[in-house]
Amino acid sequence: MVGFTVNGRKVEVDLFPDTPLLWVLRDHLGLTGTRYGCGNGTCGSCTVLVDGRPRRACLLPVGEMEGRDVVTIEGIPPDHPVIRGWIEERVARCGYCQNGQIVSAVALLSTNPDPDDFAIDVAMSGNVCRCGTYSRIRKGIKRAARLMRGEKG
Amino acid sequence: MIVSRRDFLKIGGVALTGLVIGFRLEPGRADASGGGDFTPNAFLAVDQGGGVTVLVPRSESGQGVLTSLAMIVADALGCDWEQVKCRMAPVAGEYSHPRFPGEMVTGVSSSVSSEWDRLSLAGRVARGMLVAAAARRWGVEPRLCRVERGEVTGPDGRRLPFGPLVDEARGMTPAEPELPERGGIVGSPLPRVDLPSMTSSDRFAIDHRQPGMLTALVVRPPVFGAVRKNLDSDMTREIAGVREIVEMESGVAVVADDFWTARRGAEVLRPVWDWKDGLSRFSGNQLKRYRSLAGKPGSLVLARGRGGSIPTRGGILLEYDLPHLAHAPMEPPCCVVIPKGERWLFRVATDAPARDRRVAASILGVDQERVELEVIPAGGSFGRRLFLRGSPVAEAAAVARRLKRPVKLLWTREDDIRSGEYRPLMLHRIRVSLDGKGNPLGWLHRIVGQSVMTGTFLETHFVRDGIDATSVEGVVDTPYPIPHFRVELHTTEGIAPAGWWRGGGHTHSCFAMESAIDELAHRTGKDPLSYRRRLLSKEPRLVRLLDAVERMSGWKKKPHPGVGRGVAIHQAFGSCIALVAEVRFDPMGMIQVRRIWSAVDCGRTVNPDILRLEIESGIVFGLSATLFGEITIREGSVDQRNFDGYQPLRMLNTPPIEIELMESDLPPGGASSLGVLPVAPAVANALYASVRSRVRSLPITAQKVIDAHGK
Repeated sequence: MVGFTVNGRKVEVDLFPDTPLLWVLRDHLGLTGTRYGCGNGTCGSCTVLVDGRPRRACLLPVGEMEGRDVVTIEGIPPDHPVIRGWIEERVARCGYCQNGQIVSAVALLSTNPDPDDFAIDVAMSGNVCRCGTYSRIRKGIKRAARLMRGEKG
Repeated sequence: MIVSRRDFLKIGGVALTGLVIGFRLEPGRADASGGGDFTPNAFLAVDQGGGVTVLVPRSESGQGVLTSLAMIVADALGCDWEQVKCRMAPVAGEYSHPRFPGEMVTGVSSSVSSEWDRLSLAGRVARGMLVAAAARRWGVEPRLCRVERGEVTGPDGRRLPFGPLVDEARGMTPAEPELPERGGIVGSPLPRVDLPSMTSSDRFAIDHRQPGMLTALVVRPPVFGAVRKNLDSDMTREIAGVREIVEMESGVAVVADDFWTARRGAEVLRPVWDWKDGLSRFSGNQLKRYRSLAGKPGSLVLARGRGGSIPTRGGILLEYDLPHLAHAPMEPPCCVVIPKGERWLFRVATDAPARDRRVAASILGVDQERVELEVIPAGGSFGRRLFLRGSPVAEAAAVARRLKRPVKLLWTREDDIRSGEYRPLMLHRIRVSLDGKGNPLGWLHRIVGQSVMTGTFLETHFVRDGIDATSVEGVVDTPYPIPHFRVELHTTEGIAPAGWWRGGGHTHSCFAMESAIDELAHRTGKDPLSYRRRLLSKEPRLVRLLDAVERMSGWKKKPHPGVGRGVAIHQAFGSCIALVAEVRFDPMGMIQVRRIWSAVDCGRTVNPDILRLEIESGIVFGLSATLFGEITIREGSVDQRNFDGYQPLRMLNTPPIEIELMESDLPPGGASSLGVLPVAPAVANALYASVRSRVRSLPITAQKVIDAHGK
């Protein structure tokens, strides 16, 4: 049995310890907002926060999650500045990668409230978008940063 | 004249402001929203409260069709956009693609252009019936009424919203108000209607959950063309949670309680394969064979001018090759099947839902009426969800038939990259002679490669006398004035399944044509942009785009040392695009695409914000292929496995992209594939301009730039 917290709720799972957190979330905890894009950590669609830091859930065996604090897209409030920024800048095209993008952006802004383009590149280049919405993602992040600073957006 | 609701509303001979309609719009079926709605045709319903539901006959995959096509209907109807709800249409004959009777198809960059007339008409007919109803109630001439934002206004200022007119509108013959005014919706940058659902947890088929649902993964042949001889599934069956093994044409399905159990089961499955000719399939050898074929005459596609002026030897010889490409949309293929008593429900992202329903019914051994197929928004398509070869539907049907339980069948990323379908490897060989002014005079163009459409449900629309129109598009219809022009095609067997990849034949023909024209410009000492402008002087649509990118990029200003600019221009799907790329090849051997400028003319714009994103999306997709896109095949199997081997463009590689949309009154053309097309030649042209290296083979790598230098 492994016990950890997801979006503030304590969970206990009894699964093979090598089961990736991605599939624990999707198949066993009903949290399907964290998406499967590659399964080998190369696309970022499965990004979640673990103890506040962005991690690829497809690479995290559930056996190593004891006592950890996980936040998924479902745990990010709909009025969060990043989500507002995403809507105001109309970031998404197909939407499949965007939950992972948003979680990475939340992580970036939690440690760097005014990231420049280089910092955005570094934080976000692990999140692939085959639709090519990168320039809108960048704008979404900058808008969210302005909202978080109390500016009008 | 009152027309009964069941009758076809035949508009055949009736002119509506001079527009003679050649087709019929059948009144909508009994609507799901309950009786009382006004459903003059299959595309829209107006309820008693004035709410409008638009049924969109295309699959949403991020290109915004759910919004843009609904805007066409709503605009013609004259309703308030706030009143509109958009849904993807169910599988039914009324929703067949106008160019492909009997088939619902999303693709070939054709959604807006192919539906503009029909959806405009659907909206106008409905508006006409509402106007007729209001006019009759008021006892006035319909042509003295106006429609604006969901209300009919009479000549004396009396107003009625649509809702109260719904009962009387049924069965009215449509009347045309005096002016065929549009509703002010088309042309507005409205936000997409599905924007709020983008952060949801259940937008995609892969997100479907229900009690008792099983997950299926398919173990596929490791080599193209291999056939299964034997199967040892003992170890798989021992795994707790594995429920069933289902053998099928495309492989062996492992069906389990959840994804990870299915994957563990798949890993220890032991199929035995007969490789057939698979081990002899190499993409490197394929290219060698193609080069040899290109030296021989092929099937004649086009001949104009004097045969004697076509250079069959001598002249300027140019050859371009492009590799296999995978689509790799972020959502791998996935199909959910739910048995419901005597019926089956399929939930899947597909670009061919009518075909899929037929196939599913056939595999299940039931009539189509017992199969309901719900089209789910796709996590990207780019052509990936069009053909049967790469579809999860037949596989899911085979599993469902055996198990009679809810099943989610999905492809892993490795399945998608290694066992999917590909833009084929292609070779273009050109021999050109120039006239005294340096313009192309005689041009022999041979294209070598697989046919994409042969063997598909769209074959009859594209393949005639053995020539696949999509193999030669972009060459045979080139806007460049070539007096003596001969195009030949060698259609080959190929070594991997071929698929429609965002832009089709234009993806390789644009690289060949725009590289070739650029080389001719340089050989004659002309500026490549001016050379094109002179050649295209009779094409004002194209000249306008060249002027735009010349201005946007500061083309006339000399770039920094080591930096070069390249231009490319192309027309496809009724639209045209010009693009300038600014590239630096640094001495450490890295290609840096610094900036991209593009001007597009897509005719009449339905939604400029959606259009802008489509162009940018295509440019990023095209740049990804230009710099990294390569699927290689050795001993019948794809070398690349996942995004580590098949590298996508990431944010850090993506330059600033500036886009200008041209105003136009021409009918809307395609947009989703357009941005893809000119990127590769523009980057190759920019590299030549900066370091005098002409790369004629994609993807463009630093090594190729170095190898080409000075040659």
